[in-house]
Amino acid sequence: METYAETLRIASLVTYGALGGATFIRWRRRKAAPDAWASATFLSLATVALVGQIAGAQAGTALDPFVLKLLLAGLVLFPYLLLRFLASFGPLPRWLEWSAAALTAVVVGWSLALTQVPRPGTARPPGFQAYLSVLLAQWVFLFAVVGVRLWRAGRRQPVVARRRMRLLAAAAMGMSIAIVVSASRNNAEVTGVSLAIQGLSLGAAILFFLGLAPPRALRTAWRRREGVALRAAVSDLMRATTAEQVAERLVPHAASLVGARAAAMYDASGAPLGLHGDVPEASADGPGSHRTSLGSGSLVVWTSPYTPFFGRDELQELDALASLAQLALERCELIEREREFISNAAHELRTPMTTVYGMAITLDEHREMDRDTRRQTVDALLRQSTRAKALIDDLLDLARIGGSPRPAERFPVEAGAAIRQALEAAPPPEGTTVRVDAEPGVTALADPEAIERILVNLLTNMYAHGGSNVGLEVRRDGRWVVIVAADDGPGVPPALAPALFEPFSRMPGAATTGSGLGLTICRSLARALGGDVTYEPDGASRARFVVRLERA
Amino acid sequence: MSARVLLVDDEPDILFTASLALRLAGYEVLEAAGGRAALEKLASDRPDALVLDLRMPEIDGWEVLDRIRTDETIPGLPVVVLSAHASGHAEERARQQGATAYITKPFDPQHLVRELGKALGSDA
Repeated sequence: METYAETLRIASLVTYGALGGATFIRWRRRKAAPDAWASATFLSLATVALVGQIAGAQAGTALDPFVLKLLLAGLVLFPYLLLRFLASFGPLPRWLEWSAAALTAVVVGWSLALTQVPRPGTARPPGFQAYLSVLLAQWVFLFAVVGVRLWRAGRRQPVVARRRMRLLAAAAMGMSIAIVVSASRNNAEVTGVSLAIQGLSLGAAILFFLGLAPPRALRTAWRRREGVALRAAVSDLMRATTAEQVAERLVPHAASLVGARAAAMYDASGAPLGLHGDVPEASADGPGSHRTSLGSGSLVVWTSPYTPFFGRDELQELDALASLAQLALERCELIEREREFISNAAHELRTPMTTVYGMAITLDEHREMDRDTRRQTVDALLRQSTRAKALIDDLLDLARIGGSPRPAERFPVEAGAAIRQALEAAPPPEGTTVRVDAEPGVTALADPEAIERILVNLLTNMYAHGGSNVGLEVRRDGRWVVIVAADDGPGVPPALAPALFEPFSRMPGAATTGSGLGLTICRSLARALGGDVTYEPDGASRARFVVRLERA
Repeated sequence: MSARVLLVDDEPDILFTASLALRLAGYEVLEAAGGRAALEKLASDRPDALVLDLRMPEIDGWEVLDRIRTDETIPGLPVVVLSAHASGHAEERARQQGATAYITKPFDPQHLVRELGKALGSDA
C-alpha cells in the first residue's frame, strides 16, 4: 500500500511538473493570454507540489507551519488561476468575477492567518473545520464553473478542440471530487480510499495534460474522420471550374473545419463569392475573424474565441485548404482563358467558313454562271480558305510552342543576318521603306527559324497597320541582344496596348486579314528562347516593338 | 418588279457571298460595309428589306435595329439578321428588337433566300 501511494504521489508530481513546463514553453512560443494563464496556473501548482514534497522530505512528517500556510495559500490560488485562464477567452459575468475574487481573497487571507494546522489524524479544532469548509466551497465552486463553462463551450467546436475542452472540464470535475473526498476524511493512514483519491488526482493531472498539450499522435487520431472529410473537400475543390464553384465548395468546408459560425469568400474587389452561416454585415475583420489570402481574393472565417487556443491545428489546416483553393482558382482562371480562346478561335474561323460554305453551295446550285461572277466566286473562295488555313496553322503553332515541355534549342544567330533573311521573306510593300541599323557581329542565342518568324510577324504587322517608314535597330544591352522594330505610324491606341499580345486582340476597325495570333506567337517564341517581345512606344507615340534575346 | 434588299456586313467576302446568292435568286441588292453606310442607304434608297450583320465596328447591327424601330418612316421593315452568336439569348434579343428572322453564320445561302422570301411575303 505504502509503495502504491508513493508511486502515485511521484507520478502526480511528475505530471504536474510536466504540465507546468509544457504550458510555460507554449506561452514563451506564442505569447497569447490563454497560454500565459495556463502557464501561471500549472507552474504555481507544480511549485506548490514540489516545495511541499521537498519541505516534507526535509522536515520528516511535520512541516514548518509557515511553509504549510504558504502552500495552502498557493493551493487555494489554483482554481482561481484556472478561472482566469477561462476568462482570457472572453469576459465572465460580473457577479462571477466578483464572487470568485472575493471568495479566493478570503480563503488566501484565512490560510495565511491560520494559527495552527492540525496534523492528519489528529482532532480538528472548530476554527480549522470552518476554514476547511470555506476552502472546499471555493474549490468546488470555481472548478464547477470552469468545468461547466468549458464543457458547454466545446459544443460547437471541431473534434480536437471539443475533446481538449471536455478533457479540461473533466479534469476540473475530478479535482474537485478528489479534494472534497480527501478533506472529508481525517486519516493519516494509507487506505483504499486514500489511494483512490491519489489515483483520481493523478487522473485529473493526466486529463489536464492531454487537454492542454495533447501529443500530436493523439490529435491525428482524433482528426481521422474529419481528415477523410477534408480530403473529399479538396478533391471536390479541384474539380471546380469557376470561381463561384470554388467558393460554393470551399466556404462550408472551411467553416466546419474550424467550427466557425460563419465563413465567406471574397473576390479581389471585396465582393462576396460565397457565404456560409451568419456572416456579420458590419466588418469582415471584426473580433473572432480569421482572414486568409487566396491570391486574388480572400477567405474569412468567424470562429469562437476558443478556436485560436484549442483549434490551432485546424487553423493551420484552414491555411493549407486556402492555398489549395488558390490553386483551384488559378486553375479556373486558366480554364476560363482557354474557353474564351476556343470561342474566339471558332469565331475567327466562322468568317472564312461562311464564305467557303456559302460559295460551295451557290456554285453547286448555279452551275451556269457568267465568267466574271465565277471568277469572283473562286477568288473569294481562295482568299477565305487561305485565311482559314493561316489561322489553323497559327493555332497549331501556338499549341506546339506552348505545349513544348523543354525550352527551345538555341544556336548563335547573327542579328543582322536574321534581319536580312526576314526582309527577304517579308519585303516591304510599295510605298514603305525599311531602314536597318544593325551593329555587325551581334550574336543572339536563338533558333534561326523562330527569330525569322518573330521578325516577319512584326514586319507584316507594321506594313499593315503602321506608317510608311519602318526602322530596325540592333544593339547590345548587358546580357541581351535588343532588336527594336519601330514605324512612324500613329502607334497602338493606349487602350489596346495592355492586351496587345493576347490572342485575337485587334486594332479597332482594322481589316481582319490576319489570324489575330501573330503577336501572341511572337511572344511565345521569344519566351521559349528565354527572351521576350514587348511593346514600348517612345515619346512620339510611334509603334515600337522590342525583341530581347540572350547574347551568345 | 423585284424587291430591293440592303445587305450589310463588314466582311467583303461575306457580303459578296450573300449578295451573289440573292442576285441569283432575282433580288436587286444594295450593299453597305458598315452600320453608318446602312443607315444612310436606308434613308436614301428605301429598300424593301434588310439583311444585317450584328458584329460590326463603330455602329453595330444592334444599333441599326434600334434606329429602325424608332424610325416612323419605315414601319415594319423586314430584317433578316446574320449573326455569329449561336446563343438563343442573342436570337431572342434580336427578335425583340424587331428582327423578322435570325440566321447563324456560317449559313446556307439558299436558307437566306428562303427566309428573306418569307419575311417579304409576310410583309406583303
